[in-house]
Amino acid sequence: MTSTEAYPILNFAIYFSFATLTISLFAGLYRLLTGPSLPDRIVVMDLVASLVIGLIITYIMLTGQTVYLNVAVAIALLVFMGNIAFAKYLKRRLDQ
Amino acid sequence: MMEWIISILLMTGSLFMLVAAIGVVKLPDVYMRMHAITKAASLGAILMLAAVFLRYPQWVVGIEALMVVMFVIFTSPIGAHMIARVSHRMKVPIGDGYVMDELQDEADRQSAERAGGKSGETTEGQSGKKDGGKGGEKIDTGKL
Repeated sequence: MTSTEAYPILNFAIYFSFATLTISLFAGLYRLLTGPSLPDRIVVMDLVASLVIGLIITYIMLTGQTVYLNVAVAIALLVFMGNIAFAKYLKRRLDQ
Repeated sequence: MMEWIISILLMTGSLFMLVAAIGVVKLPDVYMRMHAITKAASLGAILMLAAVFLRYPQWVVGIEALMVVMFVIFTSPIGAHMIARVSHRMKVPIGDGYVMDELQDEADRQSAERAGGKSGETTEGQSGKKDGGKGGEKIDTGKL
């Protein structure tokens, strides 16, 4: 199934990348749970989007299914919309 | 040879993302955390997209990777800018080591304006209140 068995170094790099990104996701989860203020949690959303893009890319390298890059495009767009929406929402809540 | 370059790009990108996550955990306040995320995580994503393009050198992959890079480069600073402004207005507590606050004057001016608008409202009554609300809305979108 994997397309990387001919290259051991690439195989190692893919699993190393999976491990690193998973550790990073748990670090983001820690900040999401203990973040003192609401902007801290919104910032973590940005980080998690980047990490998910990284996970998708690593999965593409593992399986060779390049169609999953569409998911990365959609996530990169959606997280921007989410940031803007959160900023507007917080600003409106401040003005009231 | 090529697989070595791809592997190094992939591992470097994921290590930059790990650096961003460590920064999110260790740095003291929201502005420094934003500094860690918007630069390190974006660089990590760009390096990993370069790796996937080198691994699958096709037109579709290249164009989509370039689209993701463009979105990340253009939208990440804008989002961080807006979140930073809002958190400055929310008076999120900052850590030690800051020497100046360039937004302080503008924050003072805005709060003074809002206080002035509110005192005008109370003298004018119900209809004035509605107008004041609309004016606040307009200022809001203009500042964003």
